[in-house]
Amino acid sequence: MSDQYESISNEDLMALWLDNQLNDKQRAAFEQRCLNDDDFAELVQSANQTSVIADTAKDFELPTWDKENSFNFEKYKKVSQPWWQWQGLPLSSVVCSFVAIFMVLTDLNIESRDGRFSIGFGSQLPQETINKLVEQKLNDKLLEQQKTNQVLFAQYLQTLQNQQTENSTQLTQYLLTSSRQERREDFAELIKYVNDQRRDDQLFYANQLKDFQQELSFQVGQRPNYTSPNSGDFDSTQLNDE
Amino acid sequence: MFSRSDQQLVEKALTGNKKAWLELISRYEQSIFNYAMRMTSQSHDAKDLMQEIFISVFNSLHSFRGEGSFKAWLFRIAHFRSMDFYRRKKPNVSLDDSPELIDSRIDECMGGSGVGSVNIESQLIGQQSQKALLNTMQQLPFNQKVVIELKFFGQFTFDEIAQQLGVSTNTVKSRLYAALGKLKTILEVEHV
Repeated sequence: MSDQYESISNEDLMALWLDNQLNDKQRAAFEQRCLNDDDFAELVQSANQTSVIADTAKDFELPTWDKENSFNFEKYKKVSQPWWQWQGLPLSSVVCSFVAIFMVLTDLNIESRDGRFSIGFGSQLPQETINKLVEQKLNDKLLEQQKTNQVLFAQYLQTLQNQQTENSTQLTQYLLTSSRQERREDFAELIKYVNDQRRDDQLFYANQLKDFQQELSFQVGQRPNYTSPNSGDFDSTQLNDE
Repeated sequence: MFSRSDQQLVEKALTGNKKAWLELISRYEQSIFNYAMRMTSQSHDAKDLMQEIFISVFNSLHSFRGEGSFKAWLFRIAHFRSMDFYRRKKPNVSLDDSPELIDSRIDECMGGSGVGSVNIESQLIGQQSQKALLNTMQQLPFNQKVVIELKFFGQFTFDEIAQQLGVSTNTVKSRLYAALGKLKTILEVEHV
């Protein structure tokens, strides 16, 4: 402990002594230093002497001087405080801080609804009100959803109807087209059949006529310019012409 | 009647109240003149310096926040003004250098007050001592002289002096210690 005070510098000891701030141990160290260190003791003596002279020093005779000249208020006005050093600024800051603290502590609630602002205190609404608000919100949402669905459904229905109409038209067109084709084909078939039948009949009648001719030739005499339909020289166009 | 505080007088002066400013001057002109006398050792220089100090104080009055004492703030400005004054008077002498010996005429202004019932002999001895000290102070470098002035005559603490001079407390202590060493030597020589 004593080492701690022995290591303190002369300057610090002197300063503590002059400011009258020496504690007991420092005072002991100071006195010890004065006894052991002659230079330090002489400096203490010098300080003491200076202090005494200063304490008993008389004032100098004050000369007359132009005191009012120092009051240059016009000049002072030019260096008046800038706006950011306005004394009201700290005060307004404090006021704003208090307002902010008040808002936080009181749970100030500001609501904006339908273009209106409403300021209220206390963010905790009653449960009943919350339920009502939730229900109202849900109903609104449902109504909105229904309206949207109806519009979408009407659009879908319209699209479906249009599509069905188009399909029906296409089907009718197809049916008409296809029935015409079929009928054309049936007629062609029928005509072909009739033609075939006619050809067969003609062939049959030709044979009948040939047979009848032969019979006649047997009975009346032979007719050499006639050819049999079964021979290779028979011309079917002859039958048609006939 | 209640005397108004320095802060109140400052506020009044800032609003253009000349009376308040003159009252503020009357409170501190003696101590500022004493300071100026000890720093310059010449009465006409001291008068000029005092005038400069008060003009400077008035121009800076708006920057006084009242955080410390007005006296400390005043002596802070006084220090800068006297430093400036010293540099103008002795442009080739550093603030840490000892000035050349000058013909001191401090006694011209001394003994103007405080005679009253004080014993005339002790008064004379006191005056002689004061004169010797002040003459000795003039041989100190500016930076050491101002520390002696503020410590012994201004009665400021080391922290206050450090704040006024804009240096560390340890620097102030060192300057004072060095100044005391020189004072001792000079006084010894003068007494011999």
